[in-house]
Amino acid sequence: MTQAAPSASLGFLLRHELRLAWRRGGLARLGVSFPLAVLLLLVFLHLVAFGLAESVRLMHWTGADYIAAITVGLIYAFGLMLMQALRQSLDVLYEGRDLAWLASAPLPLRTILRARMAAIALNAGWLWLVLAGTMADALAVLVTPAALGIYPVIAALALFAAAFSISSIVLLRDLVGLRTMRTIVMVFSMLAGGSVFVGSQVRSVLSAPERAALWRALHPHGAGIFALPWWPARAAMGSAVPLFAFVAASVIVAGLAGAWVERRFARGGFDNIARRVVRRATSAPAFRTGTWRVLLTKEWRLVWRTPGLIGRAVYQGVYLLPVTIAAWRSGSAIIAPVMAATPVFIGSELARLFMVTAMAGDQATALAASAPVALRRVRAAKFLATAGGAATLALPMAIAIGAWWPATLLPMLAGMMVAFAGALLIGEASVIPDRVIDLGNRPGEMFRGAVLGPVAGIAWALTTWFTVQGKPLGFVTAAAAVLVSVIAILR
Amino acid sequence: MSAPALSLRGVSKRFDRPAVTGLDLTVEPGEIFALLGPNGAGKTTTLRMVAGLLRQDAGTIEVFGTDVVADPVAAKRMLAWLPDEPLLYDRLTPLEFLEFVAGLWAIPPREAERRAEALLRRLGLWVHRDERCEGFSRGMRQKTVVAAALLHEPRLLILDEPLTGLDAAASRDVKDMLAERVAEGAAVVVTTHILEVAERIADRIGIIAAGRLLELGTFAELRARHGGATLEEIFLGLTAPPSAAGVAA
Repeated sequence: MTQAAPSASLGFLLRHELRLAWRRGGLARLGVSFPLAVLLLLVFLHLVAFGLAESVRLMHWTGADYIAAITVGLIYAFGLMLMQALRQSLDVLYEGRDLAWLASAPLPLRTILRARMAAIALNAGWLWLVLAGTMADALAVLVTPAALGIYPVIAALALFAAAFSISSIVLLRDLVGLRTMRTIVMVFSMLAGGSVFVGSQVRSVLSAPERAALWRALHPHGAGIFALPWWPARAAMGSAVPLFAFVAASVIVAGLAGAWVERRFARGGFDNIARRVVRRATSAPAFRTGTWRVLLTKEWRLVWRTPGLIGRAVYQGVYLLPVTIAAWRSGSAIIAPVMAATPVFIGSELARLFMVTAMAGDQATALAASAPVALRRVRAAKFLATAGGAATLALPMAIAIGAWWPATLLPMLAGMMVAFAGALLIGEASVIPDRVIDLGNRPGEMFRGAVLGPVAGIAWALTTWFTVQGKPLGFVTAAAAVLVSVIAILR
Repeated sequence: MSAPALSLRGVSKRFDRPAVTGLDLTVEPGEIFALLGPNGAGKTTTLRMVAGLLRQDAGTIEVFGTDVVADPVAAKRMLAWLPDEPLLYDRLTPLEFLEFVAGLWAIPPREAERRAEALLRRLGLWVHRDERCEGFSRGMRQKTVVAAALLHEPRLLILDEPLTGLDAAASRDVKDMLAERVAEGAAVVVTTHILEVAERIADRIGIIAAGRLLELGTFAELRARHGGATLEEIFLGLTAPPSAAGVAA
């Protein structure tokens, strides 16, 4: 007699979700095993954490100091968790397209959605559990065991982030449609990440007195320590009532969000996943002659119809914001080189993103390869189209800066030309000769491009920066830039 | 005497193991040739070599007398390759995609526009001509790439599972369109796992397994050689692994 197989459990589904998430990540693509990666990370982080905890112990912080520092840390962590959770919710609910298939399995929808939410929470929170957890371990040994309260608080924050992201995405989809929802989510998650980054650069952005005033403002005073805003920090410090309340609130909120999302899906949410999203071209194409023309037109269309690409590249500018503000505050001598480096970096990032996407991410490379057109012509068209796109976006900024500080114009334009050439080389390097097919299935190449690109962009931006200042160090960074290009070609 | 539409002589290709070994094959103009084989038999590798996407390790491949390695551009001008997975740009509309293909094959614009409209109308895609392909079903994507393959009126069509995802009407339309091309002197090489399709549309059938051609001929010739068996019986008898063959026997 055979026994009926048990239904898939929450744990089974969660394991499935986590495996998918791990394999989407860069380390798995590089062939690093999960246990080994975790072990190495934990050993390294504990070494760092014990050093930091010893410093904290020697600082003789007051309770209010700890509360202020932990509150800032939790806000920072929550911002980044939210960014991650929003993107992942979008992916697992609407982009992955496997939810409807999973729902056809003989198990309750509730179980599937709970597993998804738990996976989102774990994905958003695991890094913080590791980072803050190792610090908590060290503080528990060196200062007080109550520091271990950080573990449940981080888990609760991750649950809050997952609950908020999953329910807001479903709500937005119902209110404004899939396409607008996707745009809103991407913009919001970028803003969340960007503001957290800018916030982390307080030292660059604010002067010492301003920082001191902010630090005082973040401190609870007197009986205010028991006010609600400080409960998460007190929970992290092991205070029983706030800890219980915070964790209980996160579980309740997650439960409510899950139930609400389940109801929305039960009422036709899957129809919305399955429904074809129709996006029309604004005008009918004009059939023309000329291989160059059709190749360029196609590349331009694809680049401009991928707004996420442009958004991502422009987003890199956020990282320059604190430096720019710091330069502005420090006086006019340094602002010109900083401003000159900005369009070079952004232009480099744009060209690199466009190029790697056009070369390694081409969905139908084999089509052009099977056409009666020389491949070098196809590649050259990609070069022209992507460099032209990057220049269209970055040149106006360079010209505006050059008009304000004329001495920056030439180094800036030279820097951008070198940056474009380098980005194109990186794109070219992502193609293996005689293996023109299946480029989209080689994430390793994309990863290499993703690492080389920013390194090259920073090098060329530094070159411009030093050159505008008339410093010989510009030659060193120029040499580094050439080296990166050579590596990109020879790899 | 005119050159065959496709000629493979002693073609071999090896990856980590031999994919195709000493393949000899000739397809004449006006012929539909079905290349059958189990998964991993070397069918797709063979078609990719003909399309110029892979270079053979040994042997020669000629399209209407043009060597695909010596003069790939001239060979590609005469052929169309349809992969097993529809290669499309999600962010282009079908009409834009055909415009791109027309440019690649240097079709005069007016002629390309006329043919594109005719093909899209015939395949029921004209109403979707301005919609981006990203939301298309598998069948619509397949129709789009079929239209692209036929746009430049190729003399040799190399089709890897061309009917996958198509509904009955579209499937019949595609088969009719292929028959029309063949009537005009083109040749079609098609792979399929649906043996009834091969039986019905192919003039000759080749069965390949482990990179080697095991059987070649018209369906009637194959039946005669295998004691009047069905194509399925012939196919399974030739390609089943030894243990399975033993069980079947």
